[in-house]
Amino acid sequence: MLTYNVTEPAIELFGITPYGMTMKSPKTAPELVDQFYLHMRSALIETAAAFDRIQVADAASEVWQDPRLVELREAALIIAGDQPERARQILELLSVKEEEEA
Amino acid sequence: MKIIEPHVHMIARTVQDYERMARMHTVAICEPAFWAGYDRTSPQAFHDYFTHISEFEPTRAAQYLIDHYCWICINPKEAEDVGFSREVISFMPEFLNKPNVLGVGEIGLNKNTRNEMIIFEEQVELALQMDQLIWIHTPHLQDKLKGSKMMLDYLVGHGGVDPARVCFDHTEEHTLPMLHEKGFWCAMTVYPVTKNSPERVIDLVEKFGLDRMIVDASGDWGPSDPATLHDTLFQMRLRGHSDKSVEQLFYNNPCRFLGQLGKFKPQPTD
Ligand SMILES: [Zn+2]
Repeated sequence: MLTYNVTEPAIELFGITPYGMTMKSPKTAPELVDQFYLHMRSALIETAAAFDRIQVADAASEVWQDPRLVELREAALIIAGDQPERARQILELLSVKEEEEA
Repeated sequence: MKIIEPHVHMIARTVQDYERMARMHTVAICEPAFWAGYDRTSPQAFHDYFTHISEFEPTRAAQYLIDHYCWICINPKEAEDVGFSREVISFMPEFLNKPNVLGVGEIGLNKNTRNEMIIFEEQVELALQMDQLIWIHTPHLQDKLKGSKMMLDYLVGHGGVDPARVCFDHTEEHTLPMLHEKGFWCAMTVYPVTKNSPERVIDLVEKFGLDRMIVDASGDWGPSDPATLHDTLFQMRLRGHSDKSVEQLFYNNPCRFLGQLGKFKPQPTD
């Protein structure tokens, strides 16, 4: 996959990303944390609470090894890791594998 | 700024959605042929459906100054019966020749079966014979990656398909890179829970640029909302992108892709 970093003067000059080039966020990382922190916090708490809800319900032991839940616990490890492209990694983890029947 | 909605099933929406889209500066919309929530009981039911989306919906849209276009096909969810599907394909040309029909779509895969693939391939051939654009539905959730690869391999291996005339829809982080790299247009659907959020769409735009990228809301009979398209436009502005870039993504890009046959009237501003 070919991507290019757009130089800031190019953005200033044209106000637009030339074709075939990536378009780095104009926001800094601290600005993005301020913008998204509460959203990220909420999404994680909602997932944790759903696990809790399932765990205290009747027949919880029957679903605890449900492959869907196992995959979600693996997904949590991807979020906690340092590798980029976490969303892509999680989507691949949750996909039918090539050799599996659909 | 004018907006184009490249994918919405207005047959499943109320007039209030036309009103809201008009207020949000949507000037043109496209309605791909899809599954109605139940399997049709005869090929003739498809004929009626194609008539509805190519004749009646444009009159509803026109009341709100919105240009309505559609795509014609047998959708992948009803393509398992090959004989039935071929009967539908037999009368597609009469609709494809209409001035407001943009091409063959949304064809694709649902559960990635052999029969779905046969009907996908036959509809690609029809599109090529009739010099049509192609709009592709990629499967849902866990089936999306495998189905996208199957269709990509087929189209690249075919040799006669110009990727500039094909758009893969419902792309996400795990499917967009391979499709975009091969020169295809990629549409990202903003749909609650099961597809992209506005934030993730703008992440993908920041990573892959504006070239050959389209955004749609795919409003249908499910828990969806045409306004998620406009939420995404707002997210792009919140993230600090220029008005020119926003206009390119939400207006000029769809104009370019959809305008290739000369049927789609809105023109790019640049
Ligand atoms: Zn659709």
